[in-house]
Amino acid sequence: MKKINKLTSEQEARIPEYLNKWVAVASQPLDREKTVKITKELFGEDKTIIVAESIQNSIDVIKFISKGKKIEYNSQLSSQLYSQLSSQLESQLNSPLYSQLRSQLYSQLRSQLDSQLESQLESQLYSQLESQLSSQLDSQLESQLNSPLYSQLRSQLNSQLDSQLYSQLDSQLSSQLYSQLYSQLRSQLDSQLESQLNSPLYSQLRSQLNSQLDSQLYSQLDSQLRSQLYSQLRSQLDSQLESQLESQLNSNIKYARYTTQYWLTWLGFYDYAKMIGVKFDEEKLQRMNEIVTAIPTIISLGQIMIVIENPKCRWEDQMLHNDQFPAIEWKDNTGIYFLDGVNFEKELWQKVISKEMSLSDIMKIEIADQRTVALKYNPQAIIKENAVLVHKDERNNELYLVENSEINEITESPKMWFLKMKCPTGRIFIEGIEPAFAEANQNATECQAELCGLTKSEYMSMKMES
Amino acid sequence: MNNIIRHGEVILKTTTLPKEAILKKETNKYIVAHSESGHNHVLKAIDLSKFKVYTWNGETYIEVLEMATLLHEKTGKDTHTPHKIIPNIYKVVIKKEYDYFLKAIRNVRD
Repeated sequence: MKKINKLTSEQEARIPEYLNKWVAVASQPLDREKTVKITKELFGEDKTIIVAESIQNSIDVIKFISKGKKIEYNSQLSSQLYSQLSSQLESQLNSPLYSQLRSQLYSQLRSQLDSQLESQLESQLYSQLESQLSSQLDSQLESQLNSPLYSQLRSQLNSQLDSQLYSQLDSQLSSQLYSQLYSQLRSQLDSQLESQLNSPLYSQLRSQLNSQLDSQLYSQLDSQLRSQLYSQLRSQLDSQLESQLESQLNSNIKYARYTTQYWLTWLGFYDYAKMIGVKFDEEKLQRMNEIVTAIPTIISLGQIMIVIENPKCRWEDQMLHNDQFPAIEWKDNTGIYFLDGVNFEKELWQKVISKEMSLSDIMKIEIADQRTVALKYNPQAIIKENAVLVHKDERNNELYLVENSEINEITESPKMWFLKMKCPTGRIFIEGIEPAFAEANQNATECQAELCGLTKSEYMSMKMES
Repeated sequence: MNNIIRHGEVILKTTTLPKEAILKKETNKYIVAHSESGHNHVLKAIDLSKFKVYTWNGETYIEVLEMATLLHEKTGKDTHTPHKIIPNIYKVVIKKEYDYFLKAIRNVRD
């Protein structure tokens, strides 16, 4: 077999074609029937194969499968959290805040109950006394009506009046007597009521009731507050547990999944090698091709195998990059964010692309690669805090120079030149100028023309601009 | 006199076609500057006419035979307004910037 030592120019020219071909394979949607078939061939026909739309989808599937078992999922974690729950509950029940709350609630409820108690006791006592006095009133009235004086008066009048008048008189006298007696007795009743309300018996009764009331009230309050607190804390801790379990799950999935995608680089290499004449064991190469393209990423859960669908990848200058969407994005719009090939968490990616970061915000980023990209995407931060305006032209192009600042040290560029311009759409752009050119042409128009690939006169003659 | 049209980071500059230029395609729609976000700068022929796209020495040349339109595949306030492109030979220039971190000149990405 002849060894290939050198590529022909035609073979070399085809390298990008193979590169693009195999990069595209990484984003091809799976042939799911084939994926299930090959996964079963590899792992066993008895396995259940699930094709997930994305990594997030696979996490959701795992959570769904393990639903109801989440506490058992990590017994150490759950026992730790529930011991924390008890301790927090105890601590909150003994806290000054709880005492204050309890005291406030007690005071409110007590005031309501006192008022009710007072009113009920008064009403009961009044009713008893009234009944007693009413009976006394009847008895006294009867007694007066039957008295000798009344008999004498009646007898005298009898002789003077006829039977009709007698009847009227009897009625009037009865009525007057009743009214006088009622008024006297009512006054006695009020006085007795007042006296009984202030009596030691009443005090004792009230004190007993108070004590019973206090005990019941505190017991109810404690029970209600404890129940409310427990419910709140339980809900907080459940959510904490859920979040910790999810985080553990994400982390476990990160390490439990196996990705074959990097084998695509070898398949691409073998494919190219075949084209230039290298001989392969076709059967094995074909099998490798089938496996790698059918199972890009897999998670094994015992009897269940989850294969994750290929994402769409966005490249720029051969780097994973996108400033509007995740550079690696699955169908459900979840994904992984990159700028210039550097991986970002979504939150930081959003800040960077907002182009509103300050220099200090950027310098706080710990990962150097991310910091560099953030600086690149936020030139306004550099201009705002460090730049000197060198020249402004009639088209509002502004040439700035940055020197003697931290950014010069970071980029190892003693002088950094930037052109700030307003696009016809209204957006502001800040673009770097090659330092040697800017040093020699410290003129905003010259620099803008250079960036546009035009001479200064061509740039000045340009009429159609949008 | 050169006719120069700027459409965002895309500049079309009238020129003569280099003798060695290779015809890549004849089409009625050509993405002059590709954008991953889909906001491409596109040259579109009007009616059924076509134009010719050539390459030479890493540069792209377009021979516009009938009136065409250069437009931005985007909506909203940041959209570059369309330009009518009259028949001529144009060289496609993408605006450049200097990247102090890479220490290299690269195409502006919009």
